[in-house]
Amino acid sequence: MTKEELNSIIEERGTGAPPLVGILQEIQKREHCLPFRTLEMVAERLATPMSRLYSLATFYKSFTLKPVGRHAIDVCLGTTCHVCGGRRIMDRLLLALHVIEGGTTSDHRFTVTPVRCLGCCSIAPVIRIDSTVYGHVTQSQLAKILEKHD
Amino acid sequence: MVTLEIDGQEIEVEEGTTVLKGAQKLGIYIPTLCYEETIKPYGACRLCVVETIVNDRSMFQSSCSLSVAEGMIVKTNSKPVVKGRKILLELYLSRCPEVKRVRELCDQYGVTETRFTTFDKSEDCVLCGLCVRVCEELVGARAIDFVGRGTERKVDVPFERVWDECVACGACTYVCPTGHIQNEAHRVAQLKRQLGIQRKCRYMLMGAVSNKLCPNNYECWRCEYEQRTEYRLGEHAVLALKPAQRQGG
Amino acid sequence: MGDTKIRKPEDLEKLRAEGLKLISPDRSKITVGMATCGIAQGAKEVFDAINEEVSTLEANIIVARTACIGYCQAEPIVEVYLPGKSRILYHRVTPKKARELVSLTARGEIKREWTLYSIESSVEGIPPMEEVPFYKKQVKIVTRNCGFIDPRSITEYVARGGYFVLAKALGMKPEGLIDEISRSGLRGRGGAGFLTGRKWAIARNAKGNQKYMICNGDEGDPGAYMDRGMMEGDPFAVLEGMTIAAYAIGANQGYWYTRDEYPLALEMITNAIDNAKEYGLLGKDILRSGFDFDVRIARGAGAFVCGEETALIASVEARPPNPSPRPPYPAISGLFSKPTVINNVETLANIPQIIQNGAEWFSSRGTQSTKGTKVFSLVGKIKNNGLVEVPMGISLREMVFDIGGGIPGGAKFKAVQSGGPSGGLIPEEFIDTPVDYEHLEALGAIMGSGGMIVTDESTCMVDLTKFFFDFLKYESCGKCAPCREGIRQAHEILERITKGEGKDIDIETLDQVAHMVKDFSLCALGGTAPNPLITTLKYFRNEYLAHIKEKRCPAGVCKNLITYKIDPEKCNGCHVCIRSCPQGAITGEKKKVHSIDQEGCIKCGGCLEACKFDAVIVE
Repeated sequence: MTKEELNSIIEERGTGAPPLVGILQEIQKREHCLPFRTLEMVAERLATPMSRLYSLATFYKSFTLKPVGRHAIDVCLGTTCHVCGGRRIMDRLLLALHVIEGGTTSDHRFTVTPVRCLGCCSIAPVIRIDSTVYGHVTQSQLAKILEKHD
Repeated sequence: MVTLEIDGQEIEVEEGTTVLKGAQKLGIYIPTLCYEETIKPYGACRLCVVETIVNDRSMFQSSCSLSVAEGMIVKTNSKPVVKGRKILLELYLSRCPEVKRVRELCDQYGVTETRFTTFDKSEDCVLCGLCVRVCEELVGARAIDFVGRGTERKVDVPFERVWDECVACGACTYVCPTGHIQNEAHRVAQLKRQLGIQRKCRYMLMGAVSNKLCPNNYECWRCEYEQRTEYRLGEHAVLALKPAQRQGG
Repeated sequence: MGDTKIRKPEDLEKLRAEGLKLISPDRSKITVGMATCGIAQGAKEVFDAINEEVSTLEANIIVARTACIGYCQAEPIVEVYLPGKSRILYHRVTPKKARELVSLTARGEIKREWTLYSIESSVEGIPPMEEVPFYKKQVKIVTRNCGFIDPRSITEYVARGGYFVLAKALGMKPEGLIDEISRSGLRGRGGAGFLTGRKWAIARNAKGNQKYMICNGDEGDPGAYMDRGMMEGDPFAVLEGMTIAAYAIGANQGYWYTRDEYPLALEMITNAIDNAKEYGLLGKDILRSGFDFDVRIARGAGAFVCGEETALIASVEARPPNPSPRPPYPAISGLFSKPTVINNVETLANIPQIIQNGAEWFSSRGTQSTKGTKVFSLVGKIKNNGLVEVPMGISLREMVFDIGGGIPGGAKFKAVQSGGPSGGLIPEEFIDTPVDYEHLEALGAIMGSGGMIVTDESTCMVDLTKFFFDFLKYESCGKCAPCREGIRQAHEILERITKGEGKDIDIETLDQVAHMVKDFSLCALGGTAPNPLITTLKYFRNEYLAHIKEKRCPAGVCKNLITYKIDPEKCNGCHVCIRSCPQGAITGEKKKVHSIDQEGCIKCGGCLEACKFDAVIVE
C-alpha cells in the first residue's frame, strides 16, 4: 500500500483514536493482511506507538499479519453449528485442503479460519466463502461448493 | 471520611481510598501480584479478591480497585475467599511452577502441589501487566504491550523486533515480580519454536538469520563473542532490548 | 436536499402518506425477504429471477425487498401483495417457482399449494398469520416491522408510525421520559437485565457536560442472532430509540457498535444513519427542539469480549478491549471517562413503543419481575427454526413444542441451552419453567441475549460443555488469571474426559474450578463462563460418569469413545459410503454388505451422513 492510498483512507475516516480499528479494517480488506510497512506508516501518521497497533492486530481475529489466500473460508463453529455437526465439516475441509485451522493452502487459493457464529443459526451448519454464505452444508457438498471459487 | 468494617475492625478512611489500602492501614495482609502503589490498579491477578457485603448483598471484588463505601463490610479471609484463593494459586502454580514469587504465595496458603497440567515448565510470566503499565504510565514509552489474547497472551515488543521507543530504562525489569523480563533467553526460546522465522542478529551483525543458520541456535548469551557483546550492551540485562546497531539489516 | 428536512409534525404526516403508498401501492407488489439467512438460502437468485421475469413480461408489478420475517425455516420467503385483496406469503421459493409466481401475480391469481399464510385480510384456503402454529403464541412488538418494510427506506418506517414518537419525546422533559421507562419496568435485553430506566437516571444525574450514548450491537453469543435480525430488518427503530435515549440522558454523541461478522447489518445501519441525517432526524436542532445528536459507527473486529461494557468502551477508544474492574460503572465514568449509557439493540428498539403506548401498556405483558416481550432465536434440533418474539413468562415447553414444533425426526428432546456460553443447559424436567430473568437464573442458566438452542439425544453434554470451554478459551481476553487459566485447565480436563482418560477426581476438580472462576473473575464473561459446566454437572452428571467410569459416550459423539459400524441388515451395498469416505476405510462389493476398517477410520462421520438407509450405526 502506498502512502497516498493510506492517506486517503485516513482522511476518509479521520485521525485520532476511535477510527483506528476502522482504518486497520480497511487496510486488511484491501491488502488481505496488515503488512509491516503499512503499519509502520499508520504508526507514524497517527502518532500511535507500534506496540498498540501490534496489540490490536493480534487481539482481534479478523486481522492477520501474514497474507491470506484469495478466498477466505469461514467455518462457523457457533453453538448451533456445533450441535448440527459444524466441527465435522471443519475437520473434513481441513482434510480435503491439507491445511491446519487458520492456514492457507499451498496454492494460495483458500484460507480456512474458524469463526464463532455468523448469526445464521437457523440454517446450521454454515460456512462462508468470501461474502457468500452456504447453509445446511453437508460433507458431500463441500467439493462442489469449493469448485465455485477458484 | 467513610467508615467501614474490615475483618471485624472498624476503620475511618478518606473517600476514594481503596479497600486494599484500608486493610493495609489496619495491618491486614492481602496477597497481591499485579498491584504496585505508583501505578493505576489493574485488577488482573485476582489474588486480592475479598468478600464485600453492601446492603446485605455479598460480592467478590478485587480490593486493589474497589473504593471504600459507607457501611461496607469487608471480609478478607472468609472461607470462600480462602478456598478460591487456594485454587487460584494452584492454577498459578501450574502455569509457572518454577517461579519463586508464586511458590512463596503458595506456601502462605499451604498449596504444595497442583492438580492441573503444566504446559510449559519454563514459563515464568504471570501476565500481571506491571511491565506494560509501568512502561505506559510512568515512562511514557509504550514500547511493550500485550500480544494476542486468551491463553496465547504474552508481553512482547511489536513484530518481535526492537524499536526505538524502548529507552532501556529498566523499569520493567524492576517491577517484574517473577524475573521474566530479564534477558532475551525466553524470547529466543519462543523464536526457536516458530519455524521459518528469521531474526536479526544484533550481536554479531550478521543480518537476518534463520535459527538453522545461526551458529549458536539463537542462544546469543552463549555466543563466542560473549565478552564483546557484554562490553557493547553493558551488563544490565534490560539493555539487551536496546536497539543497539541498526545497520545490521 | 434542503426541502427533505423534517422540522414539524406536518412534514412527518406528508412522509407517512408517501410511505403508505409504498407499502400498499395501487398495483401488485412482490417482496423478497433478503436478510443474510434468506440470501444464503437463495433469496438473491429468486430476487433476480423475479426482476428478470417482470421485465420480460412487462408486468405492472413492483419488486421490492425486505428483511427477515423470522420464519427462517421457510426461507426464501416471498410476499405477494395484490391491491385490495391480501398479502400472501409463499415459502421455499425457488427461481423456477418465482418466475411462475410473477405470471400468476400479473393475472391476479394465487397458487394455494405454495402459500404459507396471509397477512391482514384472510383468503379462503390460506391460514391467516395468527393461526399458523409458529406465530400463534408470538406477540410482535419489537419485530413488528421486520420482514414487513424495506429496511433501507425511512419513508416506509415513518408510514408505520416511526419518528412520531421522537417528536412526542422531544416535547417531553428528559426526567419524564426516564420516569416513563422506569415505570415500564424495561430491563436491558443484552443479558444482565439491569433496569434501563435506572441506568438512564444514573447517567442523567452524573456530573459532566459531555455524555455518550452507545448502542451495543456486538452480538457475540453463538446461537443468537436477534440483533442481526433487528439491525437488518428495522434499523430505524433502533436509531429512534437511541435518539430518545440520548435526549433523556443528555448525550450529544452516540456510537453504534456492530460486529464485523454482520456485513449486511452494517450496510443497513450505515444507510439508516445517512438517511436520518438527510431528513434532519439526526444532526443539529432535531425537529426544532434545540437538541443535537450525532451517531457514528464503531466496528468490532472479531472479539466476543467486546460485548462486555468496559471492553466495548476500550474497543471504541481503540485500546485493546480488555475489561476493567467495575465500579466505576460506565454510567458514571465510561467512554473517554465521561458518563456513558450502553444499551442493547433490542432494548433500544423497545423504547419508541413504550413512549408511544405508555408504561402501563408495556408492563401489562410479562411476569412480576420481567415485563414486555423478548425476541429469541429458536434454533438447533428443532422443526421450526427462526426468530420468535414472545411475551415474558411463556414456558419453555410452549416455545419448543408449540412454536418450534418439536424435534425433527422423532428424536427425543434433551435440553435447551439458554444464554450462550454464559448460560446453562436446562433439562427436560424443568421444561415448564416460565421464561424470565429470575426463573432461568434459579436454574443456573441465564436469559442472555436470547439464544435458545434446542438439543436432542444425539448431543453429548460433555462434548457440548467442552465446546463452550473451547469457545471461551478462544475468546477470553486473557487479562485476569481465573478466567484465562481456569478455563484453560477446565478445558484440558474436559478434553481428557472426552478422550476416555478421565479420572474419578476430575468431577470434583471441575466443580471447584468452576465456582472459583465464577466468583473471582474480573468481568461478566469470566463470571458467567462456568455456567454451562455447573449446570451440566448438576443435571447431566451421569453422562460425565459414563465417560469417566465406563469410557462410553452415550450420545455417540466423542470420537475416541465410539466406533462406526455397518448394520448388515440395513446395508444394501450401494457404494455411497465408500465414495464418501475420505480415508478409503470402507470396503465391500456392490450389492453386498460393506464393512469399515476400524484402523483406517478417522470417525469423520461422512458415511453416517451419506447413508440413506441408516445402515451406519454409532456404538
